[in-house]
Amino acid sequence: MNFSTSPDIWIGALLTLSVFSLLYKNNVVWKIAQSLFVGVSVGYVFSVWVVDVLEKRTITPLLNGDFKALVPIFLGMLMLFSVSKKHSKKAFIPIAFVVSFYLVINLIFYVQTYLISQIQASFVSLIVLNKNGTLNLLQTINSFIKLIGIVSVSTYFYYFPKKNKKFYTARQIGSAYIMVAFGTAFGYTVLSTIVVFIDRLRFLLDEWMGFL
Amino acid sequence: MKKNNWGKSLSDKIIYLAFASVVVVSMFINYNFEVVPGKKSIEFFNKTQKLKNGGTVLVTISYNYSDFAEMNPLTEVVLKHLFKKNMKIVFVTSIPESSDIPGVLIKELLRDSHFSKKFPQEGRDYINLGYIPGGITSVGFLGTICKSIEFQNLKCGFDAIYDFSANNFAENPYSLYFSSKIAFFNKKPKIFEVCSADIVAEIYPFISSKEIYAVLPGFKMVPEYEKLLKGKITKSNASQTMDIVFFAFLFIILSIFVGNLAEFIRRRKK
Repeated sequence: MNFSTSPDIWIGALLTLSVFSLLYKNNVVWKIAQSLFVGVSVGYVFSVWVVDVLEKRTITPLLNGDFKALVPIFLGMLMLFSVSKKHSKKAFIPIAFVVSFYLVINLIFYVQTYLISQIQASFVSLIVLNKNGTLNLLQTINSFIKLIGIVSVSTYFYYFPKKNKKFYTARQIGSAYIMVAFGTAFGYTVLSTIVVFIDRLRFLLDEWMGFL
Repeated sequence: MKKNNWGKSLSDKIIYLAFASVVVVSMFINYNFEVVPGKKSIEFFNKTQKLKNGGTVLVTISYNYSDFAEMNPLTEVVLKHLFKKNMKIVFVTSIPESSDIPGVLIKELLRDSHFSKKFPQEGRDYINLGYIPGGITSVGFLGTICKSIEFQNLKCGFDAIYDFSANNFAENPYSLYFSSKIAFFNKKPKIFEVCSADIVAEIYPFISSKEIYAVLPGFKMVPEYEKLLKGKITKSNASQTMDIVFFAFLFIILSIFVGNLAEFIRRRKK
Protein backbone atom coordinates (compact mmCIF):
# COMPACT_ATOMS: atom_id res chain seq x y z
CA MET A 1 0.00 0.00 0.00
CA ASN A 2 1.22 3.46 -0.89
CA PHE A 3 -0.98 5.98 0.90
CA SER A 4 -1.29 9.46 -0.56
CA THR A 5 0.47 12.29 1.23
CA SER A 6 -1.92 14.96 -0.02
CA PRO A 7 -4.19 16.37 2.72
CA ASP A 8 -6.99 16.97 0.14
CA ILE A 9 -7.05 13.28 -0.75
CA TRP A 10 -7.07 12.30 2.94
CA ILE A 11 -10.00 14.62 3.72
CA GLY A 12 -11.88 13.28 0.68
CA ALA A 13 -11.17 9.68 1.63
CA LEU A 14 -12.20 10.08 5.27
CA LEU A 15 -15.42 11.86 4.28
CA THR A 16 -16.18 9.14 1.71
CA LEU A 17 -15.71 6.46 4.37
CA SER A 18 -17.89 8.49 6.76
CA VAL A 19 -20.72 8.50 4.22
CA PHE A 20 -20.29 4.78 3.51
CA SER A 21 -20.51 4.11 7.26
CA LEU A 22 -24.26 4.79 7.04
CA LEU A 23 -24.60 1.44 5.27
CA TYR A 24 -23.62 -0.18 8.56
CA LYS A 25 -25.76 2.01 10.79
CA ASN A 26 -26.64 5.62 11.57
CA ASN A 27 -23.66 6.99 13.52
CA VAL A 28 -21.91 10.16 14.68
CA VAL A 29 -19.28 10.15 11.91
CA TRP A 30 -22.00 10.03 9.25
CA LYS A 31 -23.87 12.89 10.95
CA ILE A 32 -20.71 15.03 11.00
CA ALA A 33 -20.13 14.36 7.28
CA GLN A 34 -23.75 15.18 6.51
CA SER A 35 -23.69 18.48 8.42
CA LEU A 36 -20.35 19.39 6.87
CA PHE A 37 -21.72 18.73 3.40
CA VAL A 38 -24.80 20.90 3.94
CA GLY A 39 -22.74 23.70 5.52
CA VAL A 40 -20.08 23.75 2.81
CA SER A 41 -22.72 23.60 0.02
CA VAL A 42 -24.70 26.51 1.42
CA GLY A 43 -21.53 28.56 1.99
CA TYR A 44 -20.29 27.88 -1.53
CA VAL A 45 -23.62 28.70 -3.20
CA PHE A 46 -23.85 31.88 -1.14
CA SER A 47 -20.41 33.02 -2.30
CA VAL A 48 -21.32 32.24 -5.94
CA TRP A 49 -24.48 34.31 -5.63
CA VAL A 50 -22.57 37.20 -4.09
CA VAL A 51 -19.86 37.19 -6.79
CA ASP A 52 -21.81 36.17 -9.92
CA VAL A 53 -25.10 37.92 -9.22
CA LEU A 54 -24.68 40.69 -6.71
CA GLU A 55 -21.22 41.89 -7.70
CA LYS A 56 -21.05 41.16 -11.44
CA ARG A 57 -24.61 41.96 -12.43
CA THR A 58 -25.69 44.69 -10.05
CA ILE A 59 -22.91 46.49 -8.18
CA THR A 60 -20.34 46.63 -11.02
CA PRO A 61 -22.85 47.94 -13.62
CA LEU A 62 -24.09 50.48 -11.08
CA LEU A 63 -20.55 51.74 -10.46
CA ASN A 64 -20.11 52.01 -14.23
CA GLY A 65 -23.12 54.31 -14.44
CA ASP A 66 -25.71 51.73 -15.56
CA PHE A 67 -28.65 52.72 -13.37
CA LYS A 68 -30.89 49.93 -14.71
CA ALA A 69 -29.30 47.80 -11.99
CA LEU A 70 -31.24 49.85 -9.44
CA VAL A 71 -34.46 48.05 -10.40
CA PRO A 72 -33.39 44.55 -9.23
CA ILE A 73 -31.68 46.07 -6.17
CA PHE A 74 -34.91 47.88 -5.26
CA LEU A 75 -37.03 44.76 -5.79
CA GLY A 76 -34.54 42.70 -3.81
CA MET A 77 -34.69 45.16 -0.93
CA LEU A 78 -38.48 44.95 -0.92
CA MET A 79 -38.14 41.19 -0.33
CA LEU A 80 -36.53 41.95 3.02
CA PHE A 81 -39.75 43.56 4.24
CA SER A 82 -41.17 40.07 4.74
CA VAL A 83 -39.47 39.97 8.18
CA SER A 84 -41.44 43.01 9.34
CA LYS A 85 -44.99 42.43 10.56
CA LYS A 86 -46.08 45.95 9.71
CA HIS A 87 -44.67 46.18 6.17
CA SER A 88 -44.66 42.50 5.16
CA LYS A 89 -47.17 43.11 2.36
CA LYS A 90 -44.56 45.14 0.46
CA ALA A 91 -42.61 41.90 -0.06
CA PHE A 92 -45.48 40.64 -2.23
CA ILE A 93 -44.54 43.09 -5.01
CA PRO A 94 -41.24 41.39 -6.05
CA ILE A 95 -42.73 37.94 -5.36
CA ALA A 96 -45.67 38.74 -7.65
CA PHE A 97 -43.22 39.99 -10.28
CA VAL A 98 -41.11 36.82 -10.15
CA VAL A 99 -44.11 34.46 -10.12
CA SER A 100 -45.93 36.19 -12.97
CA PHE A 101 -42.75 36.49 -15.05
CA TYR A 102 -41.93 32.80 -14.76
CA LEU A 103 -45.54 31.79 -15.23
CA VAL A 104 -45.88 33.67 -18.51
CA ILE A 105 -42.47 32.62 -19.87
CA ASN A 106 -42.93 28.98 -18.88
CA LEU A 107 -46.44 28.87 -20.29
CA ILE A 108 -45.06 29.75 -23.72
CA PHE A 109 -42.22 27.22 -23.35
CA TYR A 110 -44.54 24.43 -22.29
CA VAL A 111 -47.08 25.04 -25.04
CA GLN A 112 -44.32 25.30 -27.63
CA THR A 113 -42.30 22.26 -26.70
CA TYR A 114 -44.38 19.88 -24.61
CA LEU A 115 -47.64 20.41 -26.45
CA ILE A 116 -47.29 21.62 -30.04
CA SER A 117 -43.99 19.91 -30.91
CA GLN A 118 -44.96 16.65 -29.22
CA ILE A 119 -48.34 16.55 -30.95
CA GLN A 120 -46.63 17.28 -34.27
CA ALA A 121 -44.18 14.44 -33.63
CA SER A 122 -47.09 12.06 -32.92
CA PHE A 123 -48.57 12.56 -36.40
CA VAL A 124 -46.48 10.02 -38.26
CA SER A 125 -47.29 7.92 -41.27
CA LEU A 126 -48.29 4.41 -40.19
CA ILE A 127 -46.93 2.75 -43.31
CA VAL A 128 -43.30 3.80 -43.80
CA LEU A 129 -41.75 3.31 -47.21
CA ASN A 130 -38.10 3.27 -48.20
CA LYS A 131 -36.76 5.67 -50.83
CA ASN A 132 -37.15 3.00 -53.52
CA GLY A 133 -40.82 2.51 -52.63
CA THR A 134 -40.48 -0.78 -50.71
CA LEU A 135 -41.98 -1.26 -47.27
CA ASN A 136 -39.74 -0.35 -44.32
CA LEU A 137 -41.01 -3.06 -41.99
CA LEU A 138 -39.17 -2.03 -38.82
CA GLN A 139 -40.23 1.63 -39.04
CA THR A 140 -43.80 0.58 -39.82
CA ILE A 141 -43.92 -1.68 -36.75
CA ASN A 142 -42.41 1.16 -34.74
CA SER A 143 -45.17 3.54 -35.91
CA PHE A 144 -47.86 1.06 -34.83
CA ILE A 145 -46.20 0.56 -31.42
CA LYS A 146 -46.13 4.33 -31.03
CA LEU A 147 -49.80 4.71 -32.00
CA ILE A 148 -50.96 1.93 -29.66
CA GLY A 149 -48.86 3.48 -26.87
CA ILE A 150 -50.27 6.99 -27.31
CA VAL A 151 -53.89 5.78 -27.42
CA SER A 152 -53.62 3.25 -24.57
CA VAL A 153 -51.67 5.50 -22.18
CA SER A 154 -54.06 8.40 -22.85
CA THR A 155 -56.98 6.04 -22.17
CA TYR A 156 -55.31 4.83 -18.98
CA PHE A 157 -55.10 8.34 -17.57
CA TYR A 158 -58.47 9.50 -18.88
CA TYR A 159 -60.33 6.56 -17.29
CA PHE A 160 -57.97 6.32 -14.34
CA PRO A 161 -60.23 5.25 -11.40
CA LYS A 162 -60.03 1.50 -10.94
CA LYS A 163 -63.80 1.22 -10.50
CA ASN A 164 -64.28 2.53 -14.01
CA LYS A 165 -64.68 -0.51 -16.23
CA LYS A 166 -64.58 1.30 -19.56
CA PHE A 167 -61.86 0.31 -22.01
CA TYR A 168 -60.35 -2.19 -19.56
CA THR A 169 -58.01 -3.86 -22.10
CA ALA A 170 -56.76 -0.53 -23.47
CA ARG A 171 -56.00 0.62 -19.93
CA GLN A 172 -54.15 -2.59 -19.20
CA ILE A 173 -51.99 -2.09 -22.31
CA GLY A 174 -51.41 1.54 -21.27
CA SER A 175 -50.38 0.34 -17.82
CA ALA A 176 -47.87 -2.05 -19.42
CA TYR A 177 -46.38 0.81 -21.47
CA ILE A 178 -46.01 2.93 -18.32
CA MET A 179 -44.33 0.02 -16.50
CA VAL A 180 -41.84 -0.41 -19.35
CA ALA A 181 -41.07 3.34 -19.24
CA PHE A 182 -40.55 3.25 -15.46
CA GLY A 183 -38.43 0.10 -15.73
CA THR A 184 -36.18 1.68 -18.36
CA ALA A 185 -35.79 4.85 -16.30
CA PHE A 186 -34.95 2.77 -13.22
CA GLY A 187 -32.37 0.72 -15.12
CA TYR A 188 -30.63 3.87 -16.28
CA THR A 189 -30.73 5.31 -12.74
CA VAL A 190 -29.01 2.17 -11.44
CA LEU A 191 -26.30 2.61 -14.10
CA SER A 192 -25.73 6.24 -13.02
CA THR A 193 -25.51 5.24 -9.36
CA ILE A 194 -23.10 2.39 -10.02
CA VAL A 195 -20.81 4.70 -12.00
CA VAL A 196 -20.70 7.11 -9.04
CA PHE A 197 -20.03 4.21 -6.65
CA ILE A 198 -17.20 2.87 -8.84
CA ASP A 199 -15.71 6.36 -9.03
CA ARG A 200 -15.65 6.60 -5.21
CA LEU A 201 -14.13 3.14 -4.82
CA ARG A 202 -11.51 3.94 -7.44
CA PHE A 203 -10.71 7.14 -5.54
CA LEU A 204 -10.23 5.19 -2.32
CA LEU A 205 -8.24 2.32 -3.83
CA ASP A 206 -6.20 4.27 -6.36
CA GLU A 207 -5.73 7.89 -5.31
CA TRP A 208 -5.81 7.33 -1.55
CA MET A 209 -4.33 3.85 -1.02
CA GLY A 210 -2.34 3.60 -4.26
CA PHE A 211 -3.54 0.05 -4.87
CA LEU A 212 -4.48 0.07 -8.53
CA MET B 1 -35.21 -18.69 11.92
CA LYS B 2 -37.96 -20.51 10.06
CA LYS B 3 -36.80 -23.10 7.60
CA ASN B 4 -38.44 -21.61 4.50
CA ASN B 5 -37.91 -17.97 5.38
CA TRP B 6 -34.16 -17.56 4.89
CA GLY B 7 -34.45 -15.15 1.94
CA LYS B 8 -36.54 -12.67 3.91
CA SER B 9 -34.15 -12.50 6.81
CA LEU B 10 -31.08 -11.84 4.64
CA SER B 11 -29.56 -8.64 5.97
CA ASP B 12 -29.19 -5.58 3.72
CA LYS B 13 -25.61 -5.29 4.97
CA ILE B 14 -24.69 -8.66 3.47
CA ILE B 15 -26.14 -7.58 0.12
CA TYR B 16 -24.17 -4.28 0.23
CA LEU B 17 -21.00 -6.15 1.14
CA ALA B 18 -21.48 -8.73 -1.61
CA PHE B 19 -22.11 -6.00 -4.19
CA ALA B 20 -19.08 -3.97 -3.07
CA SER B 21 -16.94 -7.13 -3.19
CA VAL B 22 -18.00 -7.81 -6.79
CA VAL B 23 -17.10 -4.24 -7.78
CA VAL B 24 -13.74 -4.28 -5.96
CA VAL B 25 -12.72 -7.68 -7.35
CA SER B 26 -13.68 -6.54 -10.89
CA MET B 27 -11.40 -3.52 -10.45
CA PHE B 28 -8.35 -5.68 -9.91
CA ILE B 29 -8.89 -7.97 -12.86
CA ASN B 30 -7.86 -6.63 -16.24
CA TYR B 31 -10.57 -7.29 -18.78
CA ASN B 32 -10.34 -6.39 -22.38
CA PHE B 33 -13.90 -6.19 -23.65
CA GLU B 34 -14.12 -4.80 -27.14
CA VAL B 35 -15.73 -1.37 -27.44
CA VAL B 36 -18.15 -1.15 -30.35
CA PRO B 37 -19.55 2.35 -30.98
CA GLY B 38 -23.35 2.32 -31.07
CA LYS B 39 -25.77 4.16 -33.34
CA LYS B 40 -26.24 7.09 -30.96
CA SER B 41 -22.55 7.83 -30.45
CA ILE B 42 -21.78 7.48 -34.18
CA GLU B 43 -24.64 9.84 -35.03
CA PHE B 44 -23.53 12.38 -32.43
CA PHE B 45 -19.93 12.15 -33.59
CA ASN B 46 -20.81 12.55 -37.28
CA LYS B 47 -23.11 15.50 -36.65
CA THR B 48 -20.42 17.25 -34.61
CA GLN B 49 -17.90 16.44 -37.31
CA LYS B 50 -20.13 18.10 -39.90
CA LEU B 51 -20.05 21.46 -38.06
CA LYS B 52 -17.72 23.88 -39.79
CA ASN B 53 -14.23 24.04 -38.29
CA GLY B 54 -13.42 27.16 -36.29
CA GLY B 55 -17.07 28.00 -35.57
CA THR B 56 -18.51 29.15 -32.26
CA VAL B 57 -20.55 26.95 -29.94
CA LEU B 58 -22.42 27.65 -26.75
CA VAL B 59 -21.79 25.10 -24.02
CA THR B 60 -24.30 25.09 -21.18
CA ILE B 61 -23.33 23.20 -18.05
CA SER B 62 -26.49 22.08 -16.26
CA TYR B 63 -25.10 19.67 -13.70
CA ASN B 64 -23.30 20.07 -10.42
CA TYR B 65 -20.59 18.24 -8.52
CA SER B 66 -22.88 15.41 -7.38
CA ASP B 67 -23.09 14.29 -11.03
CA PHE B 68 -19.42 14.90 -11.68
CA ALA B 69 -18.38 11.23 -11.73
CA GLU B 70 -20.68 10.46 -14.64
CA MET B 71 -20.89 13.79 -16.45
CA ASN B 72 -17.26 14.90 -16.31
CA PRO B 73 -15.89 12.14 -18.63
CA LEU B 74 -18.79 12.72 -21.03
CA THR B 75 -18.20 16.47 -21.13
CA GLU B 76 -14.46 16.05 -21.44
CA VAL B 77 -14.62 13.72 -24.43
CA VAL B 78 -17.03 16.02 -26.31
CA LEU B 79 -14.95 19.11 -25.51
CA LYS B 80 -11.87 17.33 -26.86
CA HIS B 81 -13.70 16.83 -30.12
CA LEU B 82 -14.79 20.48 -30.25
CA PHE B 83 -11.34 21.82 -29.49
CA LYS B 84 -9.82 19.50 -32.09
CA LYS B 85 -12.13 21.17 -34.59
CA ASN B 86 -10.80 24.55 -33.40
CA MET B 87 -14.23 25.58 -32.18
CA LYS B 88 -14.53 28.70 -30.05
CA ILE B 89 -16.47 27.80 -26.93
CA VAL B 90 -18.64 30.04 -24.78
CA PHE B 91 -19.38 28.39 -21.43
CA VAL B 92 -22.36 29.28 -19.28
CA THR B 93 -23.74 27.43 -16.27
CA SER B 94 -27.35 27.32 -15.22
CA ILE B 95 -26.69 26.13 -11.65
CA PRO B 96 -24.81 28.35 -9.17
CA GLU B 97 -22.71 25.46 -7.81
CA SER B 98 -21.36 24.62 -11.24
CA SER B 99 -19.95 28.02 -12.16
CA ASP B 100 -16.33 26.83 -11.86
CA ILE B 101 -16.84 23.46 -13.57
CA PRO B 102 -15.60 24.80 -16.97
CA GLY B 103 -12.31 25.74 -15.31
CA VAL B 104 -11.97 22.26 -13.79
CA LEU B 105 -12.74 20.66 -17.16
CA ILE B 106 -10.10 22.71 -18.96
CA LYS B 107 -7.51 21.69 -16.34
CA GLU B 108 -8.42 18.04 -16.98
CA LEU B 109 -8.11 18.57 -20.73
CA LEU B 110 -4.65 20.05 -20.35
CA ARG B 111 -3.52 16.72 -18.86
CA ASP B 112 -4.17 15.11 -22.24
CA SER B 113 -1.00 14.93 -24.30
CA HIS B 114 -2.81 16.26 -27.38
CA PHE B 115 -3.39 19.61 -25.69
CA SER B 116 -0.28 21.60 -24.91
CA LYS B 117 -0.13 24.36 -22.34
CA LYS B 118 -0.83 26.87 -25.10
CA PHE B 119 -4.10 25.22 -26.01
CA PRO B 120 -6.92 25.67 -25.13
CA GLN B 121 -6.40 29.23 -23.97
CA GLU B 122 -8.95 31.43 -22.21
CA GLY B 123 -10.02 34.44 -24.25
CA ARG B 124 -8.78 32.88 -27.48
CA ASP B 125 -10.29 29.38 -27.57
CA TYR B 126 -12.92 29.68 -24.88
CA ILE B 127 -14.55 32.02 -22.40
CA ASN B 128 -16.53 31.25 -19.28
CA LEU B 129 -19.45 33.56 -18.56
CA GLY B 130 -20.12 31.65 -15.33
CA TYR B 131 -23.48 31.31 -13.71
CA ILE B 132 -26.35 33.14 -15.33
CA PRO B 133 -29.22 33.72 -12.90
CA GLY B 134 -32.76 32.96 -13.89
CA GLY B 135 -32.00 29.45 -15.02
CA ILE B 136 -31.08 28.40 -18.49
CA THR B 137 -33.90 30.60 -19.75
CA SER B 138 -31.61 33.57 -19.67
CA VAL B 139 -29.21 31.90 -22.08
CA GLY B 140 -31.49 33.19 -24.80
CA PHE B 141 -30.62 36.71 -23.95
CA LEU B 142 -27.01 36.00 -24.80
CA GLY B 143 -28.03 37.44 -28.14
CA THR B 144 -27.77 40.83 -26.49
CA ILE B 145 -25.07 40.00 -23.97
CA CYS B 146 -22.58 38.73 -26.52
CA LYS B 147 -22.07 42.22 -27.91
CA SER B 148 -19.95 42.92 -24.87
CA ILE B 149 -17.93 39.72 -24.98
CA GLU B 150 -14.31 40.24 -25.82
CA PHE B 151 -13.79 37.16 -27.90
CA GLN B 152 -12.14 36.90 -31.29
CA ASN B 153 -14.59 36.95 -34.17
CA LEU B 154 -17.56 36.29 -31.92
CA LYS B 155 -20.72 37.65 -33.41
CA CYS B 156 -24.27 37.28 -32.18
CA GLY B 157 -24.97 33.69 -33.08
CA PHE B 158 -23.66 30.22 -32.44
CA ASP B 159 -23.27 27.30 -34.80
CA ALA B 160 -24.67 24.93 -32.18
CA ILE B 161 -25.60 24.56 -28.54
CA TYR B 162 -24.14 21.74 -26.46
CA ASP B 163 -26.16 21.19 -23.33
CA PHE B 164 -24.66 18.98 -20.62
CA SER B 165 -27.43 18.01 -18.22
CA ALA B 166 -28.13 15.74 -15.32
CA ASN B 167 -31.22 15.38 -13.16
CA ASN B 168 -32.73 18.75 -13.90
CA PHE B 169 -33.46 18.16 -17.56
CA ALA B 170 -37.13 19.04 -17.11
CA GLU B 171 -36.36 22.74 -17.15
CA ASN B 172 -33.81 22.70 -19.93
CA PRO B 173 -34.94 21.64 -23.38
CA TYR B 174 -37.97 23.80 -23.80
CA SER B 175 -36.26 26.87 -22.48
CA LEU B 176 -33.18 26.21 -24.55
CA TYR B 177 -35.30 25.70 -27.61
CA PHE B 178 -37.27 28.86 -27.14
CA SER B 179 -34.52 31.06 -25.83
CA SER B 180 -32.05 30.00 -28.45
CA LYS B 181 -34.55 31.13 -31.06
CA ILE B 182 -34.11 34.61 -29.66
CA ALA B 183 -30.34 34.27 -29.76
CA PHE B 184 -30.40 32.99 -33.30
CA PHE B 185 -32.79 35.60 -34.61
CA ASN B 186 -35.59 33.09 -35.10
CA LYS B 187 -33.40 30.44 -36.65
CA LYS B 188 -33.81 26.92 -35.28
CA PRO B 189 -30.47 26.02 -33.69
CA LYS B 190 -28.78 22.66 -33.50
CA ILE B 191 -29.06 21.47 -29.92
CA PHE B 192 -26.71 18.63 -28.94
CA GLU B 193 -27.76 17.04 -25.68
CA VAL B 194 -25.23 15.21 -23.51
CA CYS B 195 -26.90 13.78 -20.43
CA SER B 196 -26.59 11.37 -17.55
CA ALA B 197 -28.21 7.95 -17.91
CA ASP B 198 -30.98 8.58 -15.40
CA ILE B 199 -32.67 11.25 -17.52
CA VAL B 200 -32.41 9.52 -20.90
CA ALA B 201 -36.08 8.47 -20.82
CA GLU B 202 -37.11 12.13 -20.52
CA ILE B 203 -35.07 13.09 -23.55
CA TYR B 204 -36.28 10.66 -26.19
CA PRO B 205 -39.56 12.50 -26.93
CA PHE B 206 -37.52 15.58 -27.84
CA ILE B 207 -35.50 13.59 -30.35
CA SER B 208 -38.55 12.31 -32.20
CA SER B 209 -39.98 15.85 -32.26
CA LYS B 210 -36.60 16.96 -33.66
CA GLU B 211 -36.15 19.64 -30.99
CA ILE B 212 -32.87 18.00 -30.08
CA TYR B 213 -30.48 17.47 -32.95
CA ALA B 214 -28.35 14.68 -31.43
CA VAL B 215 -28.02 13.01 -28.06
CA LEU B 216 -25.18 11.33 -26.19
CA PRO B 217 -26.90 9.53 -23.33
CA GLY B 218 -25.08 8.20 -20.32
CA PHE B 219 -21.62 7.14 -19.26
CA LYS B 220 -21.71 4.10 -21.56
CA MET B 221 -21.06 6.47 -24.46
CA VAL B 222 -17.68 7.67 -23.18
CA PRO B 223 -15.51 4.71 -24.32
CA GLU B 224 -17.48 4.55 -27.58
CA TYR B 225 -16.86 8.22 -28.28
CA GLU B 226 -13.20 7.88 -27.27
CA LYS B 227 -12.86 5.13 -29.86
CA LEU B 228 -14.48 7.28 -32.54
CA LEU B 229 -12.26 10.21 -31.63
CA LYS B 230 -8.97 8.35 -31.46
CA GLY B 231 -9.68 5.62 -34.00
CA LYS B 232 -8.63 3.01 -31.46
CA ILE B 233 -9.45 2.48 -27.83
CA THR B 234 -6.63 2.74 -25.39
CA LYS B 235 -7.37 1.39 -21.93
CA SER B 236 -9.00 4.32 -20.18
CA ASN B 237 -10.84 4.86 -16.92
CA ALA B 238 -14.11 5.01 -18.84
CA SER B 239 -13.65 1.68 -20.62
CA GLN B 240 -12.52 0.09 -17.36
CA THR B 241 -15.57 1.46 -15.55
CA MET B 242 -17.89 -0.01 -18.17
CA ASP B 243 -16.20 -3.41 -17.70
CA ILE B 244 -16.89 -3.18 -13.96
CA VAL B 245 -20.47 -2.03 -14.61
CA PHE B 246 -20.97 -5.21 -16.66
CA PHE B 247 -20.10 -7.40 -13.68
CA ALA B 248 -22.13 -5.24 -11.29
CA PHE B 249 -25.17 -5.61 -13.55
CA LEU B 250 -24.55 -9.34 -13.84
CA PHE B 251 -24.56 -9.55 -10.04
CA ILE B 252 -27.81 -7.56 -9.82
CA ILE B 253 -29.52 -9.72 -12.45
CA LEU B 254 -28.36 -12.93 -10.75
CA SER B 255 -29.58 -11.62 -7.38
CA ILE B 256 -33.01 -10.81 -8.84
CA PHE B 257 -33.15 -14.26 -10.42
CA VAL B 258 -32.11 -16.09 -7.22
CA GLY B 259 -34.50 -13.95 -5.13
CA ASN B 260 -37.43 -14.70 -7.39
CA LEU B 261 -36.56 -18.39 -7.50
CA ALA B 262 -36.43 -18.55 -3.69
CA GLU B 263 -39.77 -16.77 -3.44
CA PHE B 264 -41.28 -19.14 -5.99
CA ILE B 265 -40.04 -22.21 -4.07
CA ARG B 266 -41.28 -20.75 -0.78
CA ARG B 267 -44.77 -20.21 -2.18
CA ARG B 268 -44.90 -23.71 -3.64
CA LYS B 269 -43.94 -25.23 -0.31
CA LYS B 270 -46.79 -23.32 1.33
